[in-house]
Formats: sequence, C-alpha cells, structure tokens
Amino acid sequence: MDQETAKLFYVISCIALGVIIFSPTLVSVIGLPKGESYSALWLLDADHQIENGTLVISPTKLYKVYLGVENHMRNLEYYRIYVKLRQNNEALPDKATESPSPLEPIFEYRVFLNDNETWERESRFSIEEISFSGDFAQISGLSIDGNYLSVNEFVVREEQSNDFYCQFIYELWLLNSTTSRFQYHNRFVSLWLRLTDT
Amino acid sequence: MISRTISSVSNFSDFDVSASNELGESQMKSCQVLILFLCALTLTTALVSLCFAADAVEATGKIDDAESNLNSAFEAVYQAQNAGADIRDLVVRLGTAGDLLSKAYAEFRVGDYESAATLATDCSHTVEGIASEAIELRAKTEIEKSDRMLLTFAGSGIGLAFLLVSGITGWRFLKKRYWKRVYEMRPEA
Repeated sequence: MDQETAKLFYVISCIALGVIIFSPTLVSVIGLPKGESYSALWLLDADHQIENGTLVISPTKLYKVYLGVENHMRNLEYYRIYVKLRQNNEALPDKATESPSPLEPIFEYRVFLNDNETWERESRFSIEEISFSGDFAQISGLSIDGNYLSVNEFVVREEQSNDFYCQFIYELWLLNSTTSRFQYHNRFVSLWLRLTDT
Repeated sequence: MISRTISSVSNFSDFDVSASNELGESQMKSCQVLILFLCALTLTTALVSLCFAADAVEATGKIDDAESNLNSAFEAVYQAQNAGADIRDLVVRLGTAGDLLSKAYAEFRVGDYESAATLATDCSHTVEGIASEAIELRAKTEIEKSDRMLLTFAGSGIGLAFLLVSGITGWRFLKKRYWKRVYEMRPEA
C-alpha cells in the first residue's frame, strides 16, 4: 500500500468515525421520516374471534362484543366511536367519499391513545324494548354498557328471509388538532342483528 | 184583583230577576273558578316546562363546558407529548373523563338532564388540573430536552475535536513510523 492510498484510507476512516460520533446530534437535529400513519378499528365476537355474520337477538338478553382501536398515527390521538343503529334501506358510511352515515349516533365512546397503543373494550348490549306487529318491529329502548338508550327504530321484515334485521355501525372519528373539530376517519365496522320475539 | 194579579206578576218578575241574578252570580263564580283554574293550569304547565327547559339548558351548558375542558386538556397533553413528556398518567385521566362525558351524552339523550349535568360536572372535575400539569410537564421536559441536547452537542463537539487531534497526531505518528521503517529498510552503503 503506497502512502497516498494509506492516507486516503485513514481520512475515510476518520470521517466515518466522525459521523458515528456526531450521529446523536444529527438524529436530534434532523427529523427522520415517520412512515405511514393509520388507525385500526375492529369488532370481535364474544369468543374474541372475528365476527363472521349475524347475531340472533332476543329481547332483554345481554350480548357481548369486543370493540378495539389501535393508533399508528405517530401522535397522541383523540378518537370518538359513534354507535349508530340502521336498517337495511338506510345509508352506510361511504368509503369513496369518506363521508359518515347520516344517521344520528345513539351512543359514543371517547378514546385517547398514544402512538402504537391499543384500546379494546368489552361492549355489552341488549334490546330492552321491542314490539312486533305484522311486518314491523319497533325498537324503543336498548342498553349499551349499562346505559339505557331511548330509540325509535322501525324495522321492516325482510321478504326473502322473513326475518327482522337491523345493524349496529361503529364509526371512527378523529379530532383534527388544526381545526379542533372531529372528522370522520373513514373507518367503520358493523354488526348485523337478527331480531326474534322469543 | 187585577192589581193583585199585577202585583203577583210583579212579585213573580221580582223573583225571576233575583233568581236570574243568583244564577248569573253562580255562573260568574263558576266562570271565575274555571278561569282561575285554567290560569293556574297554564301557569303550572309553563313553570313545569320552564323548570325542565332550565334543566335541559343547564345540562347542555355543563356538557358544553365539559367538552371544552376536555378539549383544552387534550390540547395541552398533545403539546406535552410533542415535547417528549411522559404523558401516560394524563392519558388515563383523559380516558376516564371521556367515559364520563360519553355517559353524560347518553343520559341527555334519554332526557335525564340531572344525571347528564352531574356526569358532565364529574368530567370537568376529572380534567381539572390536567392542562396545568401538562404545561408544567412540557416545560420540565423542554428544559431536560435542551440540557440533553446541549450535552449531546458538547459530547459530539468534544468527540470530534478529540478525533481531529488524535487523527492528526495519529497520522503524524504513522507517517513518522513509516519513514523510520523506510530508512531502516534502506540498504547500507
């Protein structure tokens, strides 16, 4: 190895060592890219499995589901999960236009999550007041997590199945820290309920 | 006889007038009672509805206050988190306050304004102090952060300076050693 090559090798080694020594300062000064940010929302059945269909609901009987949110937004976030009750002919949230369902929420959860944190809650619900009349069923009261909720939902009997169906929608909303307003986060999960009078 | 008849007629008419007067008075009294009853009923209805309206207004006000307090507390905690503070305890308290506010809304929707107001007040009490604690935590973390930054800069500076000095010294040493070897390898005349 001649002297020039050795000099070059020595200088490069010194520079590399210099970068290593200076790297803590560089990391604190230069902001590294944070990667993709997203939130996850899920609904699991009573056995903590993925809910695969429809719950058959009897009046006043208590049912259990698990509702969960995971924050990967790289920040502390303030979520709201709106619970809505709909029947088949009412609008669902629109993923394409990122708009929520126009239905009024009947209940809400408020969740505060740090980055990479998970929130999961056992949600218990029951249909407290329901009346069946011919091809109609009217839900007047239900209970979610021990909170009695007064509703007025008419459910029409489905012609094909001859059953009464309605659906719980859980919409995820997020507080926009710039505008200080909640915005629909374009995520929802749902649970079909088949209502029986027994 | 005629005069007697007339007098009896006149007596009769007197009786008729007095009877009709009595009847009018009793009707008037009934009317007065009825009007008073209607007024009382209207007043009661108005007062009751006013009381309930006041309850609803009060509950709405308390819920709005709680909502605003919760948002302010969240903003403060958010800023503290951005500064790098450990906000886990504060987030747990925010969650508790959020649950109370959700319940307040649920009670409000079923018309239990008293419970709604109580829950909203509890929510406000729960978030009380969170904002100031977050601000304090943020300030403390920022001082710690700037101290740490200063230490890092100083460490890096000293490290670089040491590297520079030792690099030059090392190079000189190696160069000297190299030439020494070269001179040693030189064939003797």
